[in-house]
Amino acid sequence: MIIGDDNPSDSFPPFFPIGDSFRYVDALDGSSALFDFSQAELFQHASGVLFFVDSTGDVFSSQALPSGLPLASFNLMFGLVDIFDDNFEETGRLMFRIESIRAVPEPGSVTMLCLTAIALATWRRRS
Amino acid sequence: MRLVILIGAALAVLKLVCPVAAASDFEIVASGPYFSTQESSETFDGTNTGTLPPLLDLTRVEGGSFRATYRFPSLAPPSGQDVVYSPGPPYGLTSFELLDSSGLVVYSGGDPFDNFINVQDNDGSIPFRSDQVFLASSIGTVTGADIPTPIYSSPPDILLNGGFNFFGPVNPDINYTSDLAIPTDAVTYLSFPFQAFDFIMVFGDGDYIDRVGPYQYVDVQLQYDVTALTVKQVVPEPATMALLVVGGVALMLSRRAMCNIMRIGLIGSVAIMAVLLAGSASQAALFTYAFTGEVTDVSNPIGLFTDPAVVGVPVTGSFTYTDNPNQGSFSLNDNFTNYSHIETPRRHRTCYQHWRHGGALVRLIAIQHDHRR
Repeated sequence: MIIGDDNPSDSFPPFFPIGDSFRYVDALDGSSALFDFSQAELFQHASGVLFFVDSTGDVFSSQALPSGLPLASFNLMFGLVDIFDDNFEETGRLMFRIESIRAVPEPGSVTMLCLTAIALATWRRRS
Repeated sequence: MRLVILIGAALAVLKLVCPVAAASDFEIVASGPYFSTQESSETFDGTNTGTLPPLLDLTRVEGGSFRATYRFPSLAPPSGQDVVYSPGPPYGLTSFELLDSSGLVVYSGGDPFDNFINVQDNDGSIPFRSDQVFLASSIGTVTGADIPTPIYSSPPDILLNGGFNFFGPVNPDINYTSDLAIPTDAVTYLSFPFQAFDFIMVFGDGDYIDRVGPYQYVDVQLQYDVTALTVKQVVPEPATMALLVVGGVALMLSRRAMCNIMRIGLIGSVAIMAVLLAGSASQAALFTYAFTGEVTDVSNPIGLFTDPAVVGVPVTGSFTYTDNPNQGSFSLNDNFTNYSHIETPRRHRTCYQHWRHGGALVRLIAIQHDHRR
């Protein structure tokens, strides 16, 4: 993850957006159905990047990793899938605009919450 | 009613802390002789380079044999030429033994996680078309290995992997698999011309990835031929049966005894939940987000993206990050800080992402341990 705080103007905004930003980067599994590397002559490396940008520069006051994302504050959200070969040549690129995003509770947390509620309800009725 | 709720809650808790297998699981049990060893080692203390002793006593395992068991669930195969299944515990390489030439067990282990099952059916183009069944796991335990003393990292990285690889080229006269299902019969596995069991162990301490600062590194990879193999269907585990028996007995007890059991069950459930909640509170927080969107730009000059990669195609997906990355941070300038997280081989919670691109589920999960985020 990369946290940008008060980033100034940049010659290549998708990678160093102006303002404040959260960037999520991950190596991607080349065996995914999204890719067909069977005919490639060189080994291919794919990565996925998600950008969340607040161009006003108000969302982050430091470069500390936030505990949760202030989704409503981002005015630009997009994703990028990039493929490079062993010679660091870009051999494929796919960009997409993120139109909606929401926080998802951890499945374990939900289960625990339900179990705790059940237990407490039962306990209260018996008392 | 309350009893039902309590039993349900207890079963749910047990399900969480002790996942059990379904009746339709299968186990591959295989064995065979030693084939080859690859190993490497390098150390650097900032001035001098050197090597570490081997992780395993190679004089004993070379010339020996292996025995191993791999468990997998019954899964409906998709259509296509290539699929990856990632069933969690209790599946995977549940046990393995590396024996010396006299048949004595030298090393053993199991405790699988991060399982990776890859099935390929007529994958690739002629003349390189092939079938493959690859069943691998990260392994949590191994006995008797000579783990070096770490100097630079606490803890050091210790990676253990093992599994089976069945592979064969396909032509109009020879074919090994007919779809992407994990084969459940020994004949299919034994028909492949290449059949191997691999065991890999890696020790990394310090700056062994970039190899700029001081580090210690040693690895070993053993390969065995698979010469004997059986596949059997697995019955429900004893724990499941015991749980059912206990539940049945409880239902036959008197109301008074039932009340006592309910009280104990409630207190026990609350205690288990308290332990689990306390445990989760001590872990790094994970934050998951789901998103939808639309492809806006595609550059695909040599056709590496598959067909749905066109402008306007909907994209959905999710990602998870942790606010406590295990690889710390660095800042290249005053405007941003980079945080890295490497999934370790132990049972840390898995961060993942998957995107649905067009109509097909595209899971972009990092299978390896060294994927940084």
